[in-house]
Amino acid sequence: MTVRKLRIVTQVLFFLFFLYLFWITSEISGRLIPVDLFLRADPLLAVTGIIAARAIIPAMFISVVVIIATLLLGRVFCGWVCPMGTTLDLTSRIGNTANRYKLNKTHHLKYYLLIGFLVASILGFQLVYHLDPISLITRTFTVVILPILVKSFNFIFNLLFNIKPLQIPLLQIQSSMVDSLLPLEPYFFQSAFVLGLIFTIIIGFELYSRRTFCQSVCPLGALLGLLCKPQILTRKVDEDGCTMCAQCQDVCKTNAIPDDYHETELRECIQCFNCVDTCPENVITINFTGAAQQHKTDFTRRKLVFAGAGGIAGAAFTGISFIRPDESSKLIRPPGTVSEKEFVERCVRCYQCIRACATSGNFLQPSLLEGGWESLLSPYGVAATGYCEFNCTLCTEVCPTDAIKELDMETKHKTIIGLAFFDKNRCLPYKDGTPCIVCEEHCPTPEKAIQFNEEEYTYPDGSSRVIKVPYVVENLCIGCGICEYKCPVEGAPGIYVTNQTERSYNTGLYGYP
Amino acid sequence: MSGHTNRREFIKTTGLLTAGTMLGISGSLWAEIPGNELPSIVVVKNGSPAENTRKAVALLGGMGRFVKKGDTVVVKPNIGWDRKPEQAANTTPEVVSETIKLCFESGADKVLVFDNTCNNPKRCYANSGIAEAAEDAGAIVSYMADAGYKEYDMPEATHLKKWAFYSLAMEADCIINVPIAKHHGIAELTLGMKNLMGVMGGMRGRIHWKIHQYLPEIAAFVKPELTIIDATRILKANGPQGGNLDDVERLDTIIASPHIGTADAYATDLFGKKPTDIGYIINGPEYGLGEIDIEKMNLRIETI
Repeated sequence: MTVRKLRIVTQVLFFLFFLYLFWITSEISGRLIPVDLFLRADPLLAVTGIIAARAIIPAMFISVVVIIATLLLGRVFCGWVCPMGTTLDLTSRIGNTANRYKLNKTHHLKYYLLIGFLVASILGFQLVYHLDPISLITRTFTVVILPILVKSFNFIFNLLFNIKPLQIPLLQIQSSMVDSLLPLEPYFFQSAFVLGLIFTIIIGFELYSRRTFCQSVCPLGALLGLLCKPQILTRKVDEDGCTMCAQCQDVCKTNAIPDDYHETELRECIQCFNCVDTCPENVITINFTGAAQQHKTDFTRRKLVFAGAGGIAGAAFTGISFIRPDESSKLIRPPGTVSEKEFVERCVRCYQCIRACATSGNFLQPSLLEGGWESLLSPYGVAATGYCEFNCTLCTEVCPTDAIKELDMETKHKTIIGLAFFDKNRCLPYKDGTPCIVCEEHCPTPEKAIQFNEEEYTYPDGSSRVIKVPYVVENLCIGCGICEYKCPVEGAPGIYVTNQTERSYNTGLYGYP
Repeated sequence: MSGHTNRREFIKTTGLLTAGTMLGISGSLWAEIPGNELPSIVVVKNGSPAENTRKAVALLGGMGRFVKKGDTVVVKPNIGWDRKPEQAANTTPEVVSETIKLCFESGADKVLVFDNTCNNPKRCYANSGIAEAAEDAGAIVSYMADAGYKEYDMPEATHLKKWAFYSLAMEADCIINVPIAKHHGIAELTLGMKNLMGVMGGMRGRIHWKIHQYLPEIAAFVKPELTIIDATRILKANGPQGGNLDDVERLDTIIASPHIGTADAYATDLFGKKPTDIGYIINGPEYGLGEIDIEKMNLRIETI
């Protein structure tokens, strides 16, 4: 087996491993491997996260492994491991994409983006999530690809369900898949269209030229490229045997071979071994001996300054944008969030929490602008789509940056994420004397946070009757939102949860005197 | 719908049949012994959940009275909540598995177990212990699929005219209703009739609006052949999902009756209530759901 084939096998295995971790994110219990492993191993998320939050994030120390590997071996992570890279390779293989060498003119762009993101993180804004490949691919799988697969499955399921003898076998298949792979219901995300579009554009560029995203945009690739300097695994060309056929340049995924084919742009080389395999004269080797002929394009100082300024501008525009208070009142953060500020600084929008929640309570959604630009696309609870399951701690277990702290069950049961309020103009017992209290039925706290008084209600025809009228017991309510989700009132619900940040973060301001 | 009518006719005919009350003889044999009148409701106490269940069914004439050879049977427990058995929010797993075994012993071809849960179904099925117990007993346990719900007209109902029910339940040859007895805010108690909401789709919360009128109509429409009320543990407050073990009382009791209204009426006694305290029980006889006056019931109480 050639090293190139070994690389392909490794890529497939890592990709399958990534998918496996993605699946088991929703397992109720018994996960032996941290499902956020790929995210934790991402040095870019670690560096920007630690800088932006001004905090040590121990979970991310594992990214040191990738840093050391890059120092010694170059960008093997990009070529052999990265699930985004493998997705793109798969795309270009299916699309039979050619290489366009002139793309090497855009290699600089990713370094400028990196500098911009680093500057923003120094200013306390974690913006790298927009383009970090691990975050991007995990997010896209959660919000776009899995829902499409689930919808497709359900479409076929519903079609076949019309055939009576197939019903029971179909239910058995579905139930066993729900236990392992599928969520129970197709789920929907409000930002799926936007995120799907971004992903489509990235895939689209892959059909233009191979690894376009990695060459030109990926800030993680840029960071790893900068670490390549002392690497010992390098490409060498035996100049005597080389016939200058240029085939190596053609097959180089990242255009790391300049017009002098003997040279290598080490920062760009992802150690894919395509050139070694392709060379008809067998004069290319990649090994641990000696230094290569390095080709280096330098950055212009002017552009570096502009990139830094771009980061400052990005941070500034984010920081000065307006948040409508009525909108932000809907930002119910996952349990285990310590404070809104810290949450926004740490969250890298990987949507592991949303992935975990989708098959549990279906509560967490990516925000749009509910919390302003600073918390764009951040996860928050929407009681219209689901609710926070009382006995579930999944989202707290899968956060790579500890934006959501891990909670044990006992703590989770008492963790306040919001507070429920009755809209007495819509709640039926208040509005027209209809008995209801579905909210009380579903309220999960052992001593119910929704209780009722029995009151006499006089109807328009003069008759009267004693009905149960619900109310919220404020110091028992944890804001899980099941009352809003299950409220049977058509249209806007008769009870709703809002965030109660100061109450949630235990400032001592709330509670009965 | 034809299967539905058949079941109903089947009950009428078999209900007229009489049988003895000895243990250990299969249901089909009971039906052949003439002359003895079967109790309309039985209460068995103090045995294990499985023993109580088996004895109760035997006292009613055996499962063969309800399940015929080759039948597809739906055993409908309460799996509504993500709670553990000791929290008494769901039916005791042993009661469910024993019921399934009895169905197979009477020649059932398939036993289906499902419930439209209130919490996440995966969590409810797993943490209630019911999915595992039912599968071990040989039943087909599945989550309820959207495609399985169909809108049904309810011509005999005066309040609820139309609703989505699970077609696999409605088309089954026999439904064995296995609720747990517990407290419930709006319905006062959730027993046999309330448990049938688990084969309904749609926005079920709306059933609460006229719950005492709707529940008997639903029970008359779904018409389970047998109701086995699990009172191994009962939940006396903060129902229907509880969570506080202080609200749970251990009774080790099983109540069984082919008449859902009779079973529900008797079960009120476990909570120190009267049948006439609860609207949907009062309205039951109007729909032919059985005697609700405990004094007038053909009742048989056994202690193991």
